[in-house]
Amino acid sequence: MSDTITEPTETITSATATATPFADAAEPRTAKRRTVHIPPAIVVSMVFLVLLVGAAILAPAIAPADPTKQSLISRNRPPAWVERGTAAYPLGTDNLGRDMLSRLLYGAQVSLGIGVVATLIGTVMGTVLGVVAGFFKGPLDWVIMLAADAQLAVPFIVIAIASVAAFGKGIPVLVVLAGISGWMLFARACRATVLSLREREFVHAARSLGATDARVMLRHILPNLGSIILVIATIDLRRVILFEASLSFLGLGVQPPQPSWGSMLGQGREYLGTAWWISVLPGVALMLTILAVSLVGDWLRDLLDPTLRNG
Amino acid sequence: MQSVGQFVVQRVVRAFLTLWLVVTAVFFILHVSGDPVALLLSESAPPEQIEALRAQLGLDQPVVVQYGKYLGSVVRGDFGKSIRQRQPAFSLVLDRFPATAQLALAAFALSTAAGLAVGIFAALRRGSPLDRLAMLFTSILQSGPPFFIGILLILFFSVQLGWLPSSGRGTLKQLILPAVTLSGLTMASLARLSRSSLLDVLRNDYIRTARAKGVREGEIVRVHALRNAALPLITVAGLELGGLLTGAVITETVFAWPGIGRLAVDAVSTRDYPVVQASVLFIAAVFVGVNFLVDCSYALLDPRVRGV
Amino acid sequence: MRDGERVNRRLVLKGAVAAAGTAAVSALLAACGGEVATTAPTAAATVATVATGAGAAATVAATKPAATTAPASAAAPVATTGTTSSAATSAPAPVSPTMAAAASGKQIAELRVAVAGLPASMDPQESISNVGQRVHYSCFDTLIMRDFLNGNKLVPGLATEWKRTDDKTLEMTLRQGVVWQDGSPFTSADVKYTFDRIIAKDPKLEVASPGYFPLASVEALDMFRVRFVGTAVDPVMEKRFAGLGAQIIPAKYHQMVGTDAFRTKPLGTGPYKLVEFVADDHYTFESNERYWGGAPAAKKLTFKLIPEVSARMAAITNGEVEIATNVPPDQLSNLKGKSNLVVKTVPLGNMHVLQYDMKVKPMDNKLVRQAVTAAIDRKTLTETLWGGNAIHTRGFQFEGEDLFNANRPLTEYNPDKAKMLLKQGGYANEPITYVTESPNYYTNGREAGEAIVEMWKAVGINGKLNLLESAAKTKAQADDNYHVATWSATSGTADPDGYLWRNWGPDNSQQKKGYWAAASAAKYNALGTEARSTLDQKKRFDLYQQMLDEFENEAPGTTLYIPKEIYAIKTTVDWTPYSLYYMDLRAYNFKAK
Repeated sequence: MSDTITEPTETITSATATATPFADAAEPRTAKRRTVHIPPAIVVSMVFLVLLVGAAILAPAIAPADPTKQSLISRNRPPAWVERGTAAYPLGTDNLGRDMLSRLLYGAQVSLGIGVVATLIGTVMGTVLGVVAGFFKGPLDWVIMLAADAQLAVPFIVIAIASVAAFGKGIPVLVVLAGISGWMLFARACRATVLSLREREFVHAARSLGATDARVMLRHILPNLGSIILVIATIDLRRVILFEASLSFLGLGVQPPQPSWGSMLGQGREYLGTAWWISVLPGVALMLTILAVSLVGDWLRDLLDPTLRNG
Repeated sequence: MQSVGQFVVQRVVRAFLTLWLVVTAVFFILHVSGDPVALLLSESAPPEQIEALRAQLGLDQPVVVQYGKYLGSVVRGDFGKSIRQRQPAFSLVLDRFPATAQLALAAFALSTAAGLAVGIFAALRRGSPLDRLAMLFTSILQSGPPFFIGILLILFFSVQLGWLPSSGRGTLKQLILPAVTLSGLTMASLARLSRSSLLDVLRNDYIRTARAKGVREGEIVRVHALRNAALPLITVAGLELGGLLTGAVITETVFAWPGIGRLAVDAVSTRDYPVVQASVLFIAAVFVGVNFLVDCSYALLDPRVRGV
Repeated sequence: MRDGERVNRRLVLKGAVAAAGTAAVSALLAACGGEVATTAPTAAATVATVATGAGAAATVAATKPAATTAPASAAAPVATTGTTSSAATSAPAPVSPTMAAAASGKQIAELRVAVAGLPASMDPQESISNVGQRVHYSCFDTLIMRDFLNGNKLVPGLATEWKRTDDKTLEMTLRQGVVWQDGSPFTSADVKYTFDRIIAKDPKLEVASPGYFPLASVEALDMFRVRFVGTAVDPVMEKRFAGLGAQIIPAKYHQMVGTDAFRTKPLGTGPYKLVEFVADDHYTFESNERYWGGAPAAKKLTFKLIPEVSARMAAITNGEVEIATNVPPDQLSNLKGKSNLVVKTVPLGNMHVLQYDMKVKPMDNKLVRQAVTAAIDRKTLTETLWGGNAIHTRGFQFEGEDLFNANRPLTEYNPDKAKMLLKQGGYANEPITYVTESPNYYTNGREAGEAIVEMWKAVGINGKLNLLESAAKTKAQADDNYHVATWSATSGTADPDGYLWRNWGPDNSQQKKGYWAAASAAKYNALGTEARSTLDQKKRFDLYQQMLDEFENEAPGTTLYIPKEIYAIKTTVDWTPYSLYYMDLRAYNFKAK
């Protein structure tokens, strides 16, 4: 729905907006290599993301404490620099006295992990269906696009809640749901690109040389979808992370005691007025990450978008 | 190439198929998710009573039969009675629509006005620090989970400043915070889209020609560029409106706004099947309807669309 | 705040003493009153703790001296057989809620109450829920009323007199001149209609399930006299008519509109008449100017649903509502120092409990169940997680109620014993799943679950927390797909029968669904059957103590604590909460300042 699911509409538009230029750019493989100027904001974003991924992977080594270890007498301790804070808990503790820093680090693992895997699911599913739809056209295309329309038309969060009720909670269900929630964006964009690619000379040439459908799709069409997929994936990663946070807000996301930024944010929101750090810290982490991903994604799109390049 | 008539017929068929798919998917997912009977009877009701009620509700029949019956009644416009409220499910959904529509329209007006202003402004100063700042701002807007932003707004404007009411629906003042919260994402996407489509247009030859002819920049933007950039914007704005009209679960929950989104979520958690089905179908119908209108107007304005 | 709490604990202690020695109540009232008046912080953020039972009366004396001065009028001496209420004879000039001075103060235009949940139905018998009791109480009346602030004494409601004609039979004389909110007269036909519905065991009515009203028949003797016959000797019969789900509904109107319409268009004899029912949003009432107990102090009453804690707290601090209910204990620090607010805290007649499923391994093993029980540190939970706003109990008992044993030890925390029991029981590290609702149904439900699972891990129990939305939790329980589930027990009649039997007896889901196996419950049931069929209070006391022993021994579940319910109230409103979720907004308990 609008605050969680209209995102698709928005992303679609950016997808279609980029899809047309891409169709032109897809004169593939012949594109010249150019030296790329990276703006400072992008450098900062990239460094941030690299550090974040590193910290998430190394969480078991660098986290000062077990993220699930409770200490009820030290609950709701503020970060060290705030009055009443202590160095034992550099970023404070949550409402059960668990170390916030450790939870943020392990939470990064969970949130980014879910984000990446779900995005991959959406990417693979959407790309396959989109390529098939665009390549074969006809009834298959029609059915796939019908399914995409149907899914876009319903508030996915409602479907997700019902699915959680049906299939249970847990990270696997969450990942699959988050993945499925975004396939349409990839499918639509890929389909549009394939529709234009399949009429290109190099495809016709391959065909006339006797290449099978599978070969044409794999060898000639798929490689040309790389950049558009990459761009949509950055958009989708943001959407998936927010999706996890929204489900966690409704209590259906990652289950305790495992931390994820979304669930920390959702469960800590009651404390915004009394112990702000419980939700503000994961909130800030989440926003910074999404911001960095968006900036890099936008930059990638501009970089790969020939109209802007020429402009 | 098809005629407009053919195009419309095809779209209508497609719209109905889409809705059928939605109804079917929701029916089966709900079917797996559990039985409302346990929630209907008191905890210590004897098994015979449970069975009797299941039979009364038709839940003891094979799934396919239940599905067929359900589809039949939906076609007749009968969505059944809410299990929880014991009122016709569809009228419950209709009761909520004004609230959702009010919030959606307010958020839409806000986001279109602000989004276009920021987008045009940024496009005209492309590459400048102000442009970057504007784009950074939209990125930040898109990065925050709505419930987080909503609660921060409540804490600041209701608790700290005491300017605005925190929740509920009634006065115009109560509309402000939820509308602002909800408009964030749409505003950001409209700003970005208007910027990029304006830039696309500004690069065209006829603009260069106009410039070469010495037409003033303001006139170029007003007369040539905006008009041409409008088409994709209208499409997207239409889709966004469709999205907003389908309710906003999270925003409605945070601000206790009595809209369709919250109705649907509450209904899922209480396994109030008829209401879930009625609300999801209603939402889908609104979305598909708006989409259909956008498609049609687009097709009328740009014949190429029909070809694809 | 902290000072306030210390005072309160002392107060509660005094309350306990008062409950034990009822003769000294009046003296203690004065003593407590004086003490509180001098030591309580004078700032507006005073926490007024209202305890159940006699303790409650003590606090009222401190915070609301006006309340005690109201003269009790004619109907106070009630013809009971004298077997039930220990408080009935002692308190001098008791406040009879129904008879207290009516609307002497001013009327305000509207009272707005922010709630975390609204009931789907206004039918008071359909389901007994925390959110329902609160709202139903303003619309309907019961035959007998319970004076929460005065030792839970039974006082006249729609009935002015009642007496036992034999051990099973209760005859009541109804109040004359009472009208329904539509102006039609209230008569014995309405009472008969209400209880016939229950006797007929309508499966959609929770109150029709055994444990609420074990009635064989109800008879209208004339326009204003009724006779109830129980299915067995019933020591708490009178209390039931003042308890949960005992509200009287109008026969004619209910038949006319039908069961479904009544859920949203109710009609009662109560002080407020429902005028607007907007599901999941707000219910609005108007004052019933013809109310037999006097017109209430608000022209209009609105219960507004604000589920989000932050928004609910914002609403009360921002002046959008006059009362906010369900204030989580952690929000207290934020409300402190707001000069226009008073925070009132009341220990509930409701205990958070855990319920075990014996059908599933390893919960079929008594030693494992005992270990799971002994490994929970209730003291730490109440002191830290609840910040003192929950009470570590003496077993399954409510302090201040009849038959309370003050010598029963506090529910034990003994990790060493737990480890030993696990060893003896041959526990093989099987997972033990703890299910609770998400979003929280019980305050701190998830947090307590997370903490308890950690406490279990500390003794070697392989605990797993499973958060489920309430419908999914119901399903998991129905499918035996869990080991331990959260639950609560409400003491609806201020007597052990109201929860030991109603919640855990043979007619309740615990035993019916086999969570508590029949063989394991046999002794408990035998004791309970005996206890509820004797009128000898001493004997009942002994029997209930044995039932508690048996409950702890068989461990079909365990008690956690009694939460305190916290309300934030505007200083312009003078209202005292009760130990049940009822919000009594009648003229004697709610005044505008």
